[in-house]
Amino acid sequence: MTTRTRDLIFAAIALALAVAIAITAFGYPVASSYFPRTLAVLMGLLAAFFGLRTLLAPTDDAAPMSPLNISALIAAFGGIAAYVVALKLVGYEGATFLFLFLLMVWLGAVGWLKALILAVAFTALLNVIFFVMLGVPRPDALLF
Amino acid sequence: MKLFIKKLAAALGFVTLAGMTPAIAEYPEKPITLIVAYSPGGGTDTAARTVAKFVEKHLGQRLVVENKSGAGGQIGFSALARANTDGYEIGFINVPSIQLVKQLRENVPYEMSDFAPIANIQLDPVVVAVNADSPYQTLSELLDAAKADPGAVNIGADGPQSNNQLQLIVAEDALATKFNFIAFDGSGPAIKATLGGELAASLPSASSAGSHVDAGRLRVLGVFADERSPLFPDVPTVSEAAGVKVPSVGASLRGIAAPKGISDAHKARLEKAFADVMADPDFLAHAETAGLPLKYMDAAAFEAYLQEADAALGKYIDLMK
Amino acid sequence: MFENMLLGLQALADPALLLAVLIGVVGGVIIGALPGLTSTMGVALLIPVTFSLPPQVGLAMLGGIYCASTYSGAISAILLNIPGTSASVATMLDGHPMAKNGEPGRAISLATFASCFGGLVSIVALLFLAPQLAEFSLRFGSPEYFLLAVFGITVIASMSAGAMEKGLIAGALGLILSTVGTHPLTGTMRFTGGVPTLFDGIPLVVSLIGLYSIPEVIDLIDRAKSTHTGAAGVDKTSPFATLRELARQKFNLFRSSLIGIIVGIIPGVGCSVGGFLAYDAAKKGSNNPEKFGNGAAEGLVASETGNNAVTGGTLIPLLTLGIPGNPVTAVLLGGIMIHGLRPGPELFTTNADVTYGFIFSLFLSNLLFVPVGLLLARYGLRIVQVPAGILAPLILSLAVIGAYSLRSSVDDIWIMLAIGALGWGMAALAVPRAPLVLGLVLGTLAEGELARSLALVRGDLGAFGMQLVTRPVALVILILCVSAIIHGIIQHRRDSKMLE
Repeated sequence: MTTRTRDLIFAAIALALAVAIAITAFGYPVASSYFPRTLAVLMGLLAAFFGLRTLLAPTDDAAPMSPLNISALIAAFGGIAAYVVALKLVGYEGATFLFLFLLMVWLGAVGWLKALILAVAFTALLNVIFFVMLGVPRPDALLF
Repeated sequence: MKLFIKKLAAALGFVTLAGMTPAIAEYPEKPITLIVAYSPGGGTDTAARTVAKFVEKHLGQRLVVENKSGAGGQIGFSALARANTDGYEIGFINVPSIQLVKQLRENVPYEMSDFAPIANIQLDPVVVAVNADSPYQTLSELLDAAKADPGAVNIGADGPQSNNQLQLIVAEDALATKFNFIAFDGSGPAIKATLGGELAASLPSASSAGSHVDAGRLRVLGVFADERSPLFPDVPTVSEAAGVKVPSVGASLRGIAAPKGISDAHKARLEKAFADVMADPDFLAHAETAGLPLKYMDAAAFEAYLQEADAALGKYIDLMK
Repeated sequence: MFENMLLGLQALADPALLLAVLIGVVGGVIIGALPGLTSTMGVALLIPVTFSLPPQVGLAMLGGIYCASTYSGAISAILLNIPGTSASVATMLDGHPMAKNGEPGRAISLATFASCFGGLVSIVALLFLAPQLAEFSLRFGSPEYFLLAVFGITVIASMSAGAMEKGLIAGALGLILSTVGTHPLTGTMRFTGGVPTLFDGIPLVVSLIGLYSIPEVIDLIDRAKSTHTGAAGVDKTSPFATLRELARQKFNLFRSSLIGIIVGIIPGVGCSVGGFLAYDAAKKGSNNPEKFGNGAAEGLVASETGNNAVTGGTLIPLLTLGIPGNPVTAVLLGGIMIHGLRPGPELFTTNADVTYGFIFSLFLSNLLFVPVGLLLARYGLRIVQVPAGILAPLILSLAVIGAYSLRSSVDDIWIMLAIGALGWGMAALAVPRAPLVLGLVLGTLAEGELARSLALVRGDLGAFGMQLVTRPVALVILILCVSAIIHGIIQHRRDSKMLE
């Protein structure tokens, strides 16, 4: 991907987003939506202008960009999603421990024993800071 | 899988039941959670934490405040409606906010019948306040100005869809007049705009106006209440000043409620603890210095108030939308 | 007056007060450095504890939390590229690049001393000028607030060097995101899809966590999976060497403090705006504006001085008029009232021992967070050398609990994840994220105050326009806005020419 394609992708997404927001915003009463309406139109115009300018610009700076790493993406988003589901099932400590342990082992920076110790220690630390010291109510879980 | 979860739930229910039966004699045997529908540090939270601290002595257990804030109280009130009925989860409810949320919104997942009132703690009436330099010396002068040019006099308050706005609408209806209502993000900013001269008057809660009145920056023209407020004994009620009965449904109440289904024994124990704290001289002295406007109602009186307010609200709700 | 001050000074001899300040500062540094924990939360949770303490001791503890947490957001902003509080977003723009260049020690020392300086100057203003400055805060009505928000939005130009259109688009998106939820005047729900969690809008703290920590973690995982090892070095800069560097930035320090104090006095604006505006002024006044965003010490210093100078500023309307300027001071007001004290002139006469004791304790808080912060940072610096494979899971678990604990809501974790996806997309497409934050911070102010200004004149646009030029404070801000926009256009032209 070059910086040119990258900017074109950005312009396209921003334009699509602006149109979607505008359609929603124009569905609300004027008195409650003139602010987002104006901004959505402005955002759309800017995106269109930026896209056109990129398209018409001389294509000399075709420096290649580093490729996207899909597995890192899946790990972060999938990991958190699984974590939250686990949180609702087995409670905070269990889910946090599992999440930390499995992710550390998968990333392979440390052996499983060290990962085990780190995961237990950090779970305990978070528990103490948030639930004991700051008195945050624990999330409800189905099993515990 | 579904069957498994059902079995599990049954098993868990059994465990709690089994754990509870022998405990009735000595309830409460562990700390009780008090759900508060607003974020830490706000007026409701401060009131809740103050009561929680003083009731401990009378309850024999700690009362742990749990803030479930969001959606103008809807999230916390819904959580209380669905809370455990084992007596270890109770909550603070704000009247009329809890009813306004229910009646102004769609798909609100609680009914007023989901709550079992235990005691009312606070009653904070709405007052009419003007800048100390304001030309309006009395409420009738302000009302005359509004009648001379309906909808032209700027009046600000917490809002939108707040108890303060409700009180304004009720007053406009009863006094057959119209103001230009401007919503602010709380009583504080509305008072600031009054001090800055942007508003002809504002409708803050009595407790938030108090310190500004003491400092001589604000003047209170009337209190929306059936009787004069101990905070401002020289100020007439709005009904007195206007000569027309103006219902005070906008007054903000804060009280304790349990989810419906709590056992009578537990409810009675809680009622007693809160009745005791409301007569505790230490607590009363503290509330006095902290400026908390206390008003005790027992469970029956609180329930009756809730039903009356619910019915009264029905008349005005369309005007608020 | 001086007798009263002496009375307050005596309070500092109380060992209980000194201990309270220490506890407050240590707690505040930790709360500020952890993303998701806010000063408001810390102050609110400690209020019941302070019931049973003498008023000046309790207030000193709360003040310690307030000052220290406003500062310590810089630590995580610099080391992790995740702002601990919204006040440190502008700090991050140059602080993190400095850390990446192997100078995290220098960056943290600069941030610490700059914060201390800004904080101290603002307390001096509080001590000597409070009554005079308080009247100024009342001159801010809705039209002034609206223009101030517009002026804040013009800072986007400074936040998006070399990518002006992208910055503007991101800023517009941030402003739009801030409109999610209830309209501040009409009460109509917008963009909520009927989800109650969104009725109050997208919480700023939750969006900050998502916007910055998720892309950072993806980057870390990427590094952990590839064999790429290039842990940044850690400099051994002595904190005191940076003092000399700061001494050369006298003008920047005073300008940023002044901006912070003014922003603080205006109720309802907040610490982050102080940081943003001071950063913008430093960039415009700098001889090498092109260095901003790539590790310019000037930017870091301006932002940290500016946001900490807000703390003293916000206390001016609070103590003299009883008007809180931000959520923390609103909670602090509760803490003052609960002891039976009432803000106003009598607070400085009848209750002078408490009030001046509190003010002097704030000097102490601002001085004390220096050693506490530097000590924490001394160990914290090694964070940049922790292997990515360990750091990534730790940051993620912290992000999850941080997003949850703001409102103890699991739904907020999903919001955080969604904003995280947006943040990752923006990072991948090289879109600056600071303008989006600026939009989120100022959007509610801009929309609400515009609607309020119009409501006050019953929708008469002509009357509103007249107010903007006839009200003296409004006119001054209007001129500032126009000159900022012109400056932005000229700069943009110059930048494009340089590229050609």
